[in-house]
Amino acid sequence: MTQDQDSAARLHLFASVAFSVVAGLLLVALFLSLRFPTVVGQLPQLTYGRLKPMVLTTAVLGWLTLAGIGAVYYLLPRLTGAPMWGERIARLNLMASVPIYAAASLAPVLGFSSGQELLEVPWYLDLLILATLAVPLGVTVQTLRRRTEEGIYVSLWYVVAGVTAAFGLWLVGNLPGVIGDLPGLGGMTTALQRVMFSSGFLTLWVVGIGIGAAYYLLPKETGNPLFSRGLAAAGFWSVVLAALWAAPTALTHTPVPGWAQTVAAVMALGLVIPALAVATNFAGTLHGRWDTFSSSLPVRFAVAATSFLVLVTLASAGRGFPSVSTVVGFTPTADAVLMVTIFGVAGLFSAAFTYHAIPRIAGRQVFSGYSGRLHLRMAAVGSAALGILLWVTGTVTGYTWVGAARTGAFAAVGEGWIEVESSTLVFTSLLPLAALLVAIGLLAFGYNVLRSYTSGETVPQEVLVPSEAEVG
Amino acid sequence: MADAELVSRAAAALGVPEPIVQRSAAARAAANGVDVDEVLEAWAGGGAVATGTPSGTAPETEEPAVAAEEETEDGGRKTEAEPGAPKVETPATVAAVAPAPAAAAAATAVVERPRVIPVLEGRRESHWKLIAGVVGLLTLGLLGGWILPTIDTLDDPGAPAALTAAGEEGRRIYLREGCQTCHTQVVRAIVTDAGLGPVSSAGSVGGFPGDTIGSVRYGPDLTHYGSREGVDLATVMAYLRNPQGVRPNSLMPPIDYLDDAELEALAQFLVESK
Repeated sequence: MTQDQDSAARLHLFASVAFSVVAGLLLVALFLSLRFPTVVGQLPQLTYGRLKPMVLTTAVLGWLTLAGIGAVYYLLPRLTGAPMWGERIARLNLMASVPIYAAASLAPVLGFSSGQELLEVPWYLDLLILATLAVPLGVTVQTLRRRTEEGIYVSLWYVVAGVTAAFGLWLVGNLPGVIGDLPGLGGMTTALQRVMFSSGFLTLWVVGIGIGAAYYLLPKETGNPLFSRGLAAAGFWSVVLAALWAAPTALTHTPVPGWAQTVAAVMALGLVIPALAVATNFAGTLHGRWDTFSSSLPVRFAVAATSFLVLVTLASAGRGFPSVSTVVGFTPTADAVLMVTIFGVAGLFSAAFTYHAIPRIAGRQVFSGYSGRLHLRMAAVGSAALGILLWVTGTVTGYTWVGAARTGAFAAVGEGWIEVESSTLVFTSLLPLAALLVAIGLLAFGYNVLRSYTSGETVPQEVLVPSEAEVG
Repeated sequence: MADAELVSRAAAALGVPEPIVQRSAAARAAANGVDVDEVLEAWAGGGAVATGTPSGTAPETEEPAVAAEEETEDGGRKTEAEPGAPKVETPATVAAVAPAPAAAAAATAVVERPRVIPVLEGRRESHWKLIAGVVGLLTLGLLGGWILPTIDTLDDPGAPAALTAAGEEGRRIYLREGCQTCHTQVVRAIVTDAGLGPVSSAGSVGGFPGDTIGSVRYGPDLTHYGSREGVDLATVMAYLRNPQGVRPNSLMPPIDYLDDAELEALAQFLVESK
């Protein structure tokens, strides 16, 4: 039994790290392809249009979803007081998930795409992915049914919301693509479906599970109890309430009904509440134990991820305001938010949890503190640089459009577009370098986790079930 | 009733609040059939309980723990929380050696005294209510974020531009090649989009299947591309094959890897986008 415990969590986390390294390398190729299309884009597989969905699918599904599921499997037995239900099913599901997620990542570059931005997976792969997402939902519900611990800790809220949202949104968001054209639907329907799905999946699952994991690891690492359960509750229910309503902010000024745009802007502003609640709660939990910021790698990662969370939520809320959106709408500021959310917020939360869990589930100490710190520095600086460069590119682009339109100098088409491009060339030229920093960080991550597993100092593994002698 | 001094000593030794130690000791004693004071003595002095905590392993307050697990009649396993001590670690979650598969050979049977960690305290609540709350709010969100705005836009008089068969095929290629990652097909009623042509209406954009609306412009909007001056099938095909031949500083990747039929279909879609 002890050989089996945490096996699903362990395997999921290791598989996710492998995908993270691939995602980092693809990120470099992506921005090289954007800036040097004639050099890199000679191969059809390496054009920006095909690479972008590959990068996003590899990162969101292969890396962060597997890491999220690993975190769910790690947290469930520790917080419910019951052994995880379906350990074997979970392991089998991973064996199916890895090739399915790899196929989903490869599909767009091989010319199989549903055209639905963010996760452009063909419908037959959508169905398989849905099945893989059903397993963590089932495991969670079954384990909760068997729980012996009456109290529900904050992290379990995020686990429940995450696995429910991941399965539910994947089902609803891809339904039209699976069952085909729906009579009477068209126009903005697809666009609304796309933004609702992508925004909800990222917020409630990819980022949400990271927050839940951080709520667990910070008290563990610092030895301090959670600062405020009430604050955590306010943040949690705010994000569950607002995440989907806020989605149409990506379509501000488009033919989406005006009332929906207004509600979306308000809800996007509302999403600042959970971000600030999380940051305040984490700071309060760290109070008196800020020394762990230097001594604990997971704490450092969690703090960095939380900082990015606050920044990206503010930026996202800002983009929802009609006046701001007039300038930055449809500019690369959207990618600034997207990339920082994935590589900055979710990526760093995921790394924090992985570093926290390794000794407890692998029986090995993290191999290299240096590699861990290198990972943090590169990933944090790279993500920040990506965000800043894309934000500046977007803002300059937006003001160039506005200026050209007001003065009548040119329209942003044809030769006019070349004018727009040239105004931002210096920033887009730096994007591959920023991506390279992220990739170096993720390579250090992969190296560190691999070496930890093979050569890390042996430590006692956390045991969740008693030995026979203990049972008596 | 446990001796108060023993409780204090055990609490001090473990760094855990006295009430928790008292509850835990009572539970441990009941589970093992020993006296409470014996348990407390062991915890306070580091000694072993007769049939309980493994030698050298102190109870650790941690997150709610897995407790004793036992065989049920049907051969399954069930777990039971240690009565009266939901927040206190039992041997179940105490760190002991359980070598990971890769570490099995190297691991030795050393039991280390774990760091004392405070309780990750949960509040008593129903997980069914939690699930119901999450599902309810998400359903509400789907209604407000997708369904209601969609219904509202169905009244829009605009209609998607009718495409020829070649145009439809071109649209499929447009989506397959990821053109929508750099180009949009929607004109907004704001100053930024001045000069891009007539403003889009709800029914005239997007369409199904797939989504050509896009969300980021690394290249120009293509809503009314076919209406622009000098745009015809031949010039579009030439541009797609070699954008830098027409505009040297363009960041558009050459689409010269498509065969002639696919390239023509893609160009046809763009020409029909008016």
